[in-house]
Amino acid sequence: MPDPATDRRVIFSTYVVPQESLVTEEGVTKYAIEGGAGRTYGGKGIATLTADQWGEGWTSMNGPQQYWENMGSNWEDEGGGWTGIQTISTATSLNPDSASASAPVLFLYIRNLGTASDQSLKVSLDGTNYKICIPPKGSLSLRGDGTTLQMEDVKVNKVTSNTTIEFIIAK
Amino acid sequence: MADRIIYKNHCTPQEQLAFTGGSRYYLDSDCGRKLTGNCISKSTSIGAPVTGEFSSTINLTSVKFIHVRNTDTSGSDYLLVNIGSMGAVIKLSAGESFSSDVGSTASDSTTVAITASGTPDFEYIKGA
Repeated sequence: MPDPATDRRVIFSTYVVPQESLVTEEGVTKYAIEGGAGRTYGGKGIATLTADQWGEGWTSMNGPQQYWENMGSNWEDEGGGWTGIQTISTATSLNPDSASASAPVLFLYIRNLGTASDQSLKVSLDGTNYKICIPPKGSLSLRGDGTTLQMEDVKVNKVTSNTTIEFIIAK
Repeated sequence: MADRIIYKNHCTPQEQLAFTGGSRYYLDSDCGRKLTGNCISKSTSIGAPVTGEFSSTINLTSVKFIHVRNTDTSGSDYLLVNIGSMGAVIKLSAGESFSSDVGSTASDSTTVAITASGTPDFEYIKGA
């Protein structure tokens, strides 16, 4: 019997490279650090999480139907392994668990696995307005304020074409 | 000459296991790995970086990309970021940053408001 985790945390960071293009006399485009910004930018932090999360689905890597004990009498309905990837084709809440709907979000990470230019993902932090856009191959990480941002507020939707994501949403 | 912004968000989820004589953090077994995304922003114009000590609400308009960092190295003062009036729900403690495209589509822009608890030092870059 494995021991349960006594604590959980996420180390998170961002890294930004502002660039400007330069065209050589041979017509080759090259990129250098943008002159006004002058350098790269970034930051790093640690979000302390609750040891007992709200369910198996707090990361996309663990599907709620992955475990025998969660399948009840419907075990025969699940024939394949969980891929850890969720397809987004409509407005989707990342927290389908009503018992934790009003729990504060302590950390959120979403990665857009889409690769085509029309597979951007939009994110809502109030359940209604989608004001963050994640380009294909991009990702988002943030620490919640601890009160206002709640599990039920986090929703995602496609911008144009369907895309796939992996995520962590932790209380 | 054209501008572009490459940005990356990275995270390492960890769990702590206690054992006789101590405890230690390991890669979280629910996640199983680190996560990273690396992309080019939709922004094609980079504003000059702005730094200072927070004194009043910072309101930015026509934002397509935002990078905000709490440049304090210690202490409990923090920044709050409100994107597109969704609420000041993104918290940045000392040393932490938030970097993302904003706006609802691949070409849209929106507003960003930065408030704080205390008087943390900050830096931000706006992409339009």
